[in-house]
Amino acid sequence: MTLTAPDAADAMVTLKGVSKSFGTVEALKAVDLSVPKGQFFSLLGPSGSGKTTLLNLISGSFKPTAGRVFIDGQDATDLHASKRGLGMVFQHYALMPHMSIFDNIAFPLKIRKVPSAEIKRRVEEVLELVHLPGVGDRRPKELSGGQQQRVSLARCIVYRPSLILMDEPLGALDKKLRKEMQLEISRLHRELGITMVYVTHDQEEALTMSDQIVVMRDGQIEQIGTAEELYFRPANPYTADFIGDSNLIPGRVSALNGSVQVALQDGGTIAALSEEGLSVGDGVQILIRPESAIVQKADTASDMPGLTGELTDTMVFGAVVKHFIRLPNGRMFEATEINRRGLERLALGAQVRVSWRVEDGLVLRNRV
Amino acid sequence: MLTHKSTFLLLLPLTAIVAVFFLYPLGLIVFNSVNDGEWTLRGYEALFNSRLIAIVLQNTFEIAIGATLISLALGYPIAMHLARQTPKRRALYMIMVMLPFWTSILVKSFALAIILGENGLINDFLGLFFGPDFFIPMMFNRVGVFVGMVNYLLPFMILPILTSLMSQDPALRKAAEIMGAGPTRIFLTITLPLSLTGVMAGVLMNVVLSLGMYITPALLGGRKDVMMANLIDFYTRKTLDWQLASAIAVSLLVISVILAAFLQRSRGRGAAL
Ligand SMILES: Nc1ncnc2c1ncn2[C@@H]1O[C@H](COP(=O)(O)OP(=O)(O)OP(=O)(O)O)[C@@H](O)[C@H]1O
Ligand SMILES: [Mg+2]
Repeated sequence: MTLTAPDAADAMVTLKGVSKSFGTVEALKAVDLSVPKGQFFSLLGPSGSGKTTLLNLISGSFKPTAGRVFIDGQDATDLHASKRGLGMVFQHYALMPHMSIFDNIAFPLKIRKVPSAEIKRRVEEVLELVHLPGVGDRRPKELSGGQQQRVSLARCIVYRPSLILMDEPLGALDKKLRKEMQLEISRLHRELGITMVYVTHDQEEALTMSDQIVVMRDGQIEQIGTAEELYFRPANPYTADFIGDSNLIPGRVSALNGSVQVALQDGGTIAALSEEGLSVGDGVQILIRPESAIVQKADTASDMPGLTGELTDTMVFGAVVKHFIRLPNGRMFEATEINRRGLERLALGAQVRVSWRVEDGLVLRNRV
Repeated sequence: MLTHKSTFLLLLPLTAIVAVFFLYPLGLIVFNSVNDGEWTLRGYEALFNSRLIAIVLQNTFEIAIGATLISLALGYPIAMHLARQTPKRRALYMIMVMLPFWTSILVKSFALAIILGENGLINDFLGLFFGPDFFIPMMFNRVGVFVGMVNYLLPFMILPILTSLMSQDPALRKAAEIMGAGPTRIFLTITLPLSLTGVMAGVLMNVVLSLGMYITPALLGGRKDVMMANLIDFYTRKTLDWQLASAIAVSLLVISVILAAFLQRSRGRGAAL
């Protein structure tokens, strides 16, 4: 039986109602997902949210408890991992310690019975591509972590799979090396046009590298979108909080008249950007990104929506200045400002007003 | 921190016991092998000229190597199976592996006699099909010796191999699978080469242990399965030629020490990997 996925033409991977349980633990709950060909596609979520499980179901290391997995339009659910023709990069490299770098990279080519002269040529070519020429004779142990990860990328690229899966490939590297490798992986993705599914729990990494990001939580997909969409139009308070820094103010929709009027739990009403599908009485949270809030003296006259509170801390991070304001209900509100010469400083402990434009307050409905 | 003095005091009893009950007799054996009232190498001369000893030495190596190879052939798959179990199950199976290890070799040998003998369990069962006179000789010959020895040796083969298999990163096999490797290739190019240090340790340990086997060949073997240890016993108790017995014992010790040194080295390399 070969089923084909409905959107077979442009999807590299399609998951239809895929679930996976380990005993009583439901690691994935009926996930539907489609990864377009050629994209850099990231899975982002906290520890235990099911990212690795999802990747293992695509690679064929596990069989789903329910649902079907399509790869390049073909039903691959019952196909053994060794027959799927994918590539995978592991967090701890998974290079064969007893083989030289050359033999490690030649391994998948030998399986494919490539003639030895061509193996030699292709291994050298791919070592050039990852900027590691001349290390063929060394053992993995004799390379640094970053170099080993390049070799493991090379070992994938060398047999030209149309899909590469990566499970936190930079998780074991230090921050500077991560940045360097992020650029490297993005470059390889651009140059080779291979579809990549990339697992990370570093949101910055996901935001900078991906065409699309899947936000996962408890074995389910919270939202799929581009970095822009997730940042400016998060579907729910969870994604908003997970992507970037955020201030969330709880309340209830009190009126809909062009903009939304939200009655706050602590009294007062705030106007925010209108959103489809809202009705009066809905429990919501208003999202205000720290960089869209401005901090002024409490008595400043303004017709923008805002709140007053006590300025507890101001921190200078070079290019930006972060203000922390304690609201009357005890919650903290964060506001970020671009640093510049002669920036006026408000006294710590003073009452201040944080305000934002109506369109910078996004109303997110609480999950029911 | 222990002071020098308390360290000394703590080690003193053991040192004394080892000195009195091990080093002294050992020294005596070495001394006996070259002195029977006067200094002489007669014992070693006899050792090198005796046809009996040459045959027994050959026997000993044949049996030791044979038993080790059988133990490897049986032990490796068991170790692989154990390595794949969940920790809970593995603990249970380990008890089964270690059971012969915890049982006295004398008890085991008699137990095996009940199973393998002419009127033993197996032959009685076969008699049901092939008539009461039918039996396969499995005792007082090499079969009996091998069964008895392998039974004793297996844990010493399984444990080091299991250790080296468990120290392998499962991601290696997973990676190979995703790259398209089948189970045979994964075994031959990854699992097996990465377990060789364990195999090496198990094999050497088995050989060294087999060389000194005494009870098993004596109880389960026949006239042609005499091993070096049995010969030492023969010369000490039957012919009272203590000098020759000592010379044999010293040679056996030297062979074992050389093999044990190899064992140590292969372990050292294993740890460095
Ligand atoms: N082999 C397994 N046996 C039992 N439970 C498992 C197994 N693998 C994963 N789980 C469970 O499934 C859930 C999802 O695990 P998964 O490894 O997919 O999370 P993850 O998102 O990759 O987390 P991390 O960021 O920590 O790697 C967890 O609750 C985990 O305990
Ligand atoms: Mg994971």
